[in-house]
Amino acid sequence: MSELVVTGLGITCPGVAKPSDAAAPRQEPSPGWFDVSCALPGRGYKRLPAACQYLLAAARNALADADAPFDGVPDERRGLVVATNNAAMELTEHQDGVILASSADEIGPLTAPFFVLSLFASRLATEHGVRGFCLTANSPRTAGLQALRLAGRALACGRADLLLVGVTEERLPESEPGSSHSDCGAAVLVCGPAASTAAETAYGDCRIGDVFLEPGGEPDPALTRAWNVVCAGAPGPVLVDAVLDDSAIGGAVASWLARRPVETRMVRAGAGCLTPMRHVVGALAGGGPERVVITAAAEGAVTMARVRPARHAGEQTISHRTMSARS
Amino acid sequence: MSRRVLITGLGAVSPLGSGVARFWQGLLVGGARPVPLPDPRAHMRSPLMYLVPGDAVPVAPAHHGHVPLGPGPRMAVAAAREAVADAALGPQFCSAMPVVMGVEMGNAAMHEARRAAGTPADPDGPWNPLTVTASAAATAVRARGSNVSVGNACAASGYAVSVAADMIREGEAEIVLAGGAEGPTRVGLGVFNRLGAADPEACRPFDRHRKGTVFGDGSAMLVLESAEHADRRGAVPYAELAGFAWSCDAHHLTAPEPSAVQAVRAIRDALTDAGTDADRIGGVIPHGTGTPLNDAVESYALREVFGERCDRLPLLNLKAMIGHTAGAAGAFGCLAAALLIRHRSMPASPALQDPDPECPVWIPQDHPVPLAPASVLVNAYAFGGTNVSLVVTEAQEAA
Repeated sequence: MSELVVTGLGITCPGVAKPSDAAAPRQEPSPGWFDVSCALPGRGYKRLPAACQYLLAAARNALADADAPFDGVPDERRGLVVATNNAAMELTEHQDGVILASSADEIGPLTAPFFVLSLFASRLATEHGVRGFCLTANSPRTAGLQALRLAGRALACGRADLLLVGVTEERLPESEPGSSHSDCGAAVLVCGPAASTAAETAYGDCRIGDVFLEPGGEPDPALTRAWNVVCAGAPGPVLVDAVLDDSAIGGAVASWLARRPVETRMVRAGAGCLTPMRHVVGALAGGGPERVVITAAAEGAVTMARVRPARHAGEQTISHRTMSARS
Repeated sequence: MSRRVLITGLGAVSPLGSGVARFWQGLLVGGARPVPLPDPRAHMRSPLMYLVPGDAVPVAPAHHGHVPLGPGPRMAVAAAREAVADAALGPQFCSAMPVVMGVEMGNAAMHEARRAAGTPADPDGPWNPLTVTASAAATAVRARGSNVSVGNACAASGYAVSVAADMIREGEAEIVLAGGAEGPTRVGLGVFNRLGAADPEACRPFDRHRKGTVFGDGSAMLVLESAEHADRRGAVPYAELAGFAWSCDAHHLTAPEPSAVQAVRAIRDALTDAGTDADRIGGVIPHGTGTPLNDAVESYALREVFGERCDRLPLLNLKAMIGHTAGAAGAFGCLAAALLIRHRSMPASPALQDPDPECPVWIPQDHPVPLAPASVLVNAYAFGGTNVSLVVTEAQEAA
């Protein structure tokens, strides 16, 4: 199973000032929490959908954090994997409302194409000259962690030398079920293959595994197999961040964890795939002990990420932020 | 040497009917025609779509867990079941099988129906994700491996098929169910109307008078299998997915990069990955959407790679026969390629009213032509300039 080494982190979430705070409880976005002219100075950003702005801002921070790693990488060797579930839901609801109330001719032209979820990643690819590949994952809730696995596989298959892995989400509109607990913001990681990335510049590494559970079925064997694969070759983490909802699948995973010799921090999952990735970012930036982040969708998919922070990661975050502030 | 990937099962629900046999028969008789979306509130100039016939749209499963399923996921379930049965996969082969699907709008029809009805939503209730298709398909065939939904717009299932093949090449899986599915969508049609990219007559790729695309719906599913595994269980493959490659224009939100540098790179890299060259490709299933710029740029890319051989290299104008199935288009291209190779023949495409001289490609329109060599290039492109090219060949004998 391929591993990813992470060398840069960026996050844009309500109430989160730096990557090491990424795993803090989700906050409701207050009006004006994101200042686009400050986060993205220059032309061409103000009229983008909010989730695109979040993604671009988080990517800027991640690339700065990694000291401009794309500078030495040809465009065609740069890759990008972005995960999202709800980046376009508010926009498409508005567009549909225009069609229902008047005519498609009245749809706002500037943001019209963003009903296509992959345009959020494509806009980021254009921003940073990513021409190797640009992939979008949209599995419910698990897409963020799956993006790490897609990235690791793409690196193993030689499709890029360095890549960005991101998640971006916008709050669900109130007309959508589950809107009161929906993700908002973005996180981006700069990632390279384990073999060619200098350990002294890394936050740590990630290894991902996943399974699909049959609703009402017996989850233990499948989850245990996935755990054993993800945690192979080491004593295994005893700390687990479990981002779960109260569905049958979420309950099955919680019950399975309760029977394992692990210390579990339960986190209420919302609509979207950002929260699990926030916990990966928080674990890497915090530089604490190894842990597993696990999440599950009510629809059946379960994904787990073993995160092994480098010992110096917390110090590195501080030094990089200082450099960014000076520049 | 990476592991070889074979196509050992196919399933389809398309505007040509339910099942792979009807899909092939439909191609032989020139494909389907578009009809207005049966939605009285689709207020737009051109609400045309190539729709799956009503009696071919499955009514079940009505739900996946708490999520009501629209036509797209239901068609995916039917196509998945057909593909698994076609590959003769018993439960013992499905238990660890990943499912990778390309889905853009997914279950949008159900969200649109709720909005049109004004049904209030419970903000504290369970979330209804847009992209439940891969989960519904996996549940239907009891596939318990990774469950991945890829959202690369109109290239989504081309990427999904190649992600699935990478899983096999990397030794993560022996068998993967891959494909794509889309249902009708009012928002998708509306935005394409707003962008001036919806043809009011039909999907007419490579015609001088084309005015945009016309969407279609349906699902195409493929069973991909390692050559070793297929050989062990005696499976008879349709074809081999010999190579594939990705690239990204990083140029514009909706327009392809006019010099086609990245599209050409994807094609050439796919040929290299397949261990073949342009002279050994017997036919092309282009992305060919009917949007003026796409078809011109893709034609240019093909001429860059195939040179003057483009004058006698047959293209299947698939979207003129089933419409642009968006996230499912790449999988439909791969499925059609496998059938072309099985039958060693390329069906005639609908007649172009006025072939565009800016698109110097050869589209057989009078009668089927032999497919020789038995290898097909499939292209799938998308808004934002994401490109994937795949090479499907006759399955080689095991060494």
